[in-house]
Amino acid sequence: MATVKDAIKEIKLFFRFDLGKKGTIIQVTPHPGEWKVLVEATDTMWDSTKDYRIIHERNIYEVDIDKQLNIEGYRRVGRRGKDGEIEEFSYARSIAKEDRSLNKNMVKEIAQEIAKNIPGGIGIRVREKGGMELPQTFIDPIEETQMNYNFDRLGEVKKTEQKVDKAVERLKAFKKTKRK
Amino acid sequence: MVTKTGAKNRRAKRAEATVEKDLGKGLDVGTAFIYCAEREKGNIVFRRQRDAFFNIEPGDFTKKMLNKINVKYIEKDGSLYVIGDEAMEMANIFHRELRRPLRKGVISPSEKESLPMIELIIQSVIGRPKCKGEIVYYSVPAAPLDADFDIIYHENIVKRFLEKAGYTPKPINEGMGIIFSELADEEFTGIGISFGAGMVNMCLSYMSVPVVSFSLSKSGDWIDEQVGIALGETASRVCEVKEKSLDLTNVKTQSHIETALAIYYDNLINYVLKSIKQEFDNNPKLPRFTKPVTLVISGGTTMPKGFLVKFNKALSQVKFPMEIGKVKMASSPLHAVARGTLIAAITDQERLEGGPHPSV
Ligand SMILES: Nc1ncnc2c1ncn2[C@@H]1O[C@H](COP(=O)(O)OP(=O)(O)OP(=O)(O)O)[C@@H](O)[C@H]1O
Ligand SMILES: [Mg+2]
Repeated sequence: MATVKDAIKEIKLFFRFDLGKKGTIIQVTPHPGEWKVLVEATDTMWDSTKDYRIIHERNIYEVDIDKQLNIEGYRRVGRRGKDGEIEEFSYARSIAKEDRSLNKNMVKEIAQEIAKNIPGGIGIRVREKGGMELPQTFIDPIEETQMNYNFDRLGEVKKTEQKVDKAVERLKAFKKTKRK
Repeated sequence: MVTKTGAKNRRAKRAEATVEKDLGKGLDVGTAFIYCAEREKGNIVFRRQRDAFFNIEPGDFTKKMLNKINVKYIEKDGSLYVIGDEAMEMANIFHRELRRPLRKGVISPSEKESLPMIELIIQSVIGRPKCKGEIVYYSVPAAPLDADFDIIYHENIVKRFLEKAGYTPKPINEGMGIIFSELADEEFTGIGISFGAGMVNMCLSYMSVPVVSFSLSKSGDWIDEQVGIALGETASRVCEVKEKSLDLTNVKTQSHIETALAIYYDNLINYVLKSIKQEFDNNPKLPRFTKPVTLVISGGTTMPKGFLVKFNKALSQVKFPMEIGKVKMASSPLHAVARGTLIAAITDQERLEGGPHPSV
């Protein structure tokens, strides 16, 4: 029989490998046949209204994991506010109740779909400096700086006669089969 | 009037134009060096630029001198920055540390003020696109296992630089670059490890698809820093010795810097292998390999003589969940990632054009 420790480990792996982010377990509640686990993870998204800006949001997920360590469902139930308090999405839990029949594959599919939309891909970690400070990354438009310089092209040049055609052809073949 | 032969001719012409233009470039933005790979008349041309600055007193006389001895500089906001290898040499003459805008494999958000310079350097290494929207694949590190920092910032900022320069940029995992470059004969299946300056990047690929990838935030820079601390030297000085004369097969007869370097090399290799093992062991999604898996190592840190021997010795002490077959050094350890990104770019570019490709 799986222990709470196993469940925590499994959920961490689920976050890491399926959702592509680091999950920090903040609460585990035992229920008949399963555990409900609250996990905090940082999601990253582009702010489409303002260019160049990435927003980091610390979200709280609730994960249901049964005693065989199957992840039965998972949903975003809240967010860590700027003041460090958790803001719960009230609707999330009520939907969650009906959600129970979600089968495992669907959960996986959804998870993968979500992971796809995270820029940067699998395994992003975002620094968690002390306190609740939300790290926000601003990519400013590079201001047009006046610079003088005495070069055109840079870099030590090395020419080789080595070809890459074979590798390209093989790679193309793989991409083709993947597309089908 | 449009005739069939006309269309044929156009297609042939287009194919010709494609061949002539050699579209698609690869870019490896590393912590210590920026590399570009492109085709020129059927050959592959690599460019390699150290991304480091050294700040010196500005003045017309200085600039004239620098021009005369062909040292590259950037003048910005009343400051004069020598860039590249010469920056490192000067830092060592003045016994000061170099300014390195990239740390641990990524552009750090705190280096905002040097961004225009990084942009200029990247642009000058990659040059102008051969056509509007030419595809360039650029390497990005995998998420670090042992540190928390933001690779997204880096990925996006390099993307913006390249877009501004007129390219269609696409990111690719650094370890995958090695796989594309070195493992075409093994169906792009195997393990690629890049020992760079800021990080070690590792990728396990199965049939051209990355399965496991991560980075570690210790590598060449870490070795330099640790040896520097131990011996009271600047990291730049240690780095210079390391790059110029380190021979790992024969450190006993060498200077104390080299002896210390060898100790940290051992430490690094063991750390990397231990981390890979741990990740593999804990990964429930590891594919089952029916054949022994080839492992390729690459990157500047593998350059000293004797590295492969050291690596193999340490590897024989670790048991991975899959059988490791051949262990080899990339054909050109400094350029493998750039070469891999070039291969990815050409593949995409030719698929995009849909047209015939140059002779094999
Ligand atoms: N001949 C050499 N002997 C020893 N070390 C070398 C040699 N040439 C380069 N290096 C070291 O290799 C590192 C640079 O390697 P490389 O160019 O692969 O890294 P990078 O791509 O810039 O960095 P990263 O991949 O970590 O972002 C530096 O630490 C450099 O000092
Ligand atoms: Mg590198």
